[in-house]
Amino acid sequence: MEIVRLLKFPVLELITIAAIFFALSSALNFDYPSVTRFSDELSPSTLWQDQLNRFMKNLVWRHLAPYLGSYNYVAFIYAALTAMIAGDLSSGHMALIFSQPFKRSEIFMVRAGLTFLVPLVVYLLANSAIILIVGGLGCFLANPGYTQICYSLATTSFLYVFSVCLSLTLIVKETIPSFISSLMFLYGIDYAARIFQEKWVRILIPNTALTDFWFALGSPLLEESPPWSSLLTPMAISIALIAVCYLYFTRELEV
Amino acid sequence: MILEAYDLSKNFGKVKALDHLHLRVGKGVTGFIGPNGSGKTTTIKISLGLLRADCGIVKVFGLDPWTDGYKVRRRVGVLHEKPSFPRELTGLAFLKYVAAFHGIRDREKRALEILKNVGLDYAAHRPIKTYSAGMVQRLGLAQAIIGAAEFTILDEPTANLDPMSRAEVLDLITFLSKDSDMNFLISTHILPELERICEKIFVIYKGRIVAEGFLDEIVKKYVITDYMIQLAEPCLLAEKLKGVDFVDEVDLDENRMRVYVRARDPDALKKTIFKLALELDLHIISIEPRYGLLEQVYRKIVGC
Repeated sequence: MEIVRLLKFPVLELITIAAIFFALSSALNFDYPSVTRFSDELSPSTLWQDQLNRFMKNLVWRHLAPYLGSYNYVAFIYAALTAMIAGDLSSGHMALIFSQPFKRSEIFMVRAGLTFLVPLVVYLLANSAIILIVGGLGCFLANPGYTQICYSLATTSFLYVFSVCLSLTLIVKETIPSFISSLMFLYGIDYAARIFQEKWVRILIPNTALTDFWFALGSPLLEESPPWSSLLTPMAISIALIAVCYLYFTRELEV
Repeated sequence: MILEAYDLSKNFGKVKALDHLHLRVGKGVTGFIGPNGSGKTTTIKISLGLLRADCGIVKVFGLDPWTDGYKVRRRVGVLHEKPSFPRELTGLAFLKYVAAFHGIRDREKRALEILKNVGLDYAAHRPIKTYSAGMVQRLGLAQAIIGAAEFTILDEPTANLDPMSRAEVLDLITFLSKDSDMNFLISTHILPELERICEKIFVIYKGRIVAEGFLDEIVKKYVITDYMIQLAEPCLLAEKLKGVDFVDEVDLDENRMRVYVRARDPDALKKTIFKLALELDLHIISIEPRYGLLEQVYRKIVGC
């Protein structure tokens, strides 16, 4: 029933259209000459396979690391979807669900899980489709490990935004205030990420940590291991927030 | 006992919703009456594990609904006061989901059967968003009883229903109680309907139970004092009754040929009216309680 509600017209359609829009705009803005320069700087080799591989790697990097180009998508979609949870809390729908023979943990898993996964899956499918269209299957096959890292980064950044929106929703519990507070918080912290340049502050702000990781992935100097430590902050914050939400939802939430 | 609450209190900020409430609900159909804001819905929500009491103990089938909510909800059906259903689903589809939640095997058959019982079979395939308020209420009743739970809580079950539909819903509850051995707690402030179906009632006021017991016991305890007398000469009778010492209040409605009387001794009032009728040759059409039986008791208890 919750899947039907979440995928009802026009929710899924809007998520899909937004994902395709951002994927296409990312493809249209793709800076092809810089990719070539990029490759020349790294290696004197002019073998076309090497250049092609780097082009493909760059395509994957550009599309599957959503944090910069698609922050609007992530923020708006999760703010809206978690606001739907707030709407269900205030309208009495959640009371109806809570009155059915379910464990609260099951309700949380289904509702929060679906809210997190649907935009993520739609986004990754849309972007993967664009990569396939532009670069072909070779983009994925040439750099399978790198592709996995990019998918992981996308998932981490989505998880971080989702966890922030879910936490604010469970605090606010009203549709419009939940939506507005989520956006204000997300754009506020994004602004903070742009103005603070000190390294220790940047590590503590999830947005900058994710951005730094993304840039590191795209750096020509990175050949083997990406800087996993910069993902610790967003991962830790996301997991902590979701754990708190879970405990609150299953043990404290009154409807 | 199905539901037991001891010393239950709940505050919402500075508002005291429940104030050391005691409640013991057994088998059969039990009425739970009180004015708006008296604490009925809060009590129901605590009993379902949707709210947590600030202090006190509540047990449903011997289980704490807050910590053992899942086990409690498997045995309890509920219709909330303002139900919110997925508007895009059809009534039948929604009930099939609810049937699935309760582990019913032949979901479609059961859902159609229940829709027929609540008089909604003709709209089974229509989306809920096209339902009227009364139809939504019937659907709420359907989802509450589809699992044939041992105990069903109905919060204002006849709200938004027309008189005919109310009677049908009450008949259905009576039928289910007798034939299917289902137990009901019905919360309402519409009293005449409770008189028809409830064996036992609880009166809640300002978060406390102020009266409880079987209907006839309560009626005896809170003697009916307000009467309506219909006659051809209302002015004459009203004038005479104003001088009677055990009569507290006399209201005259000339247009409808009625006299409303509040008396401390109802038996003496009836004797006096008959005596006056003989003496003054009054043409009395009827003497009956001014309000419904339960309404009169309720008014007396809550002091209105």
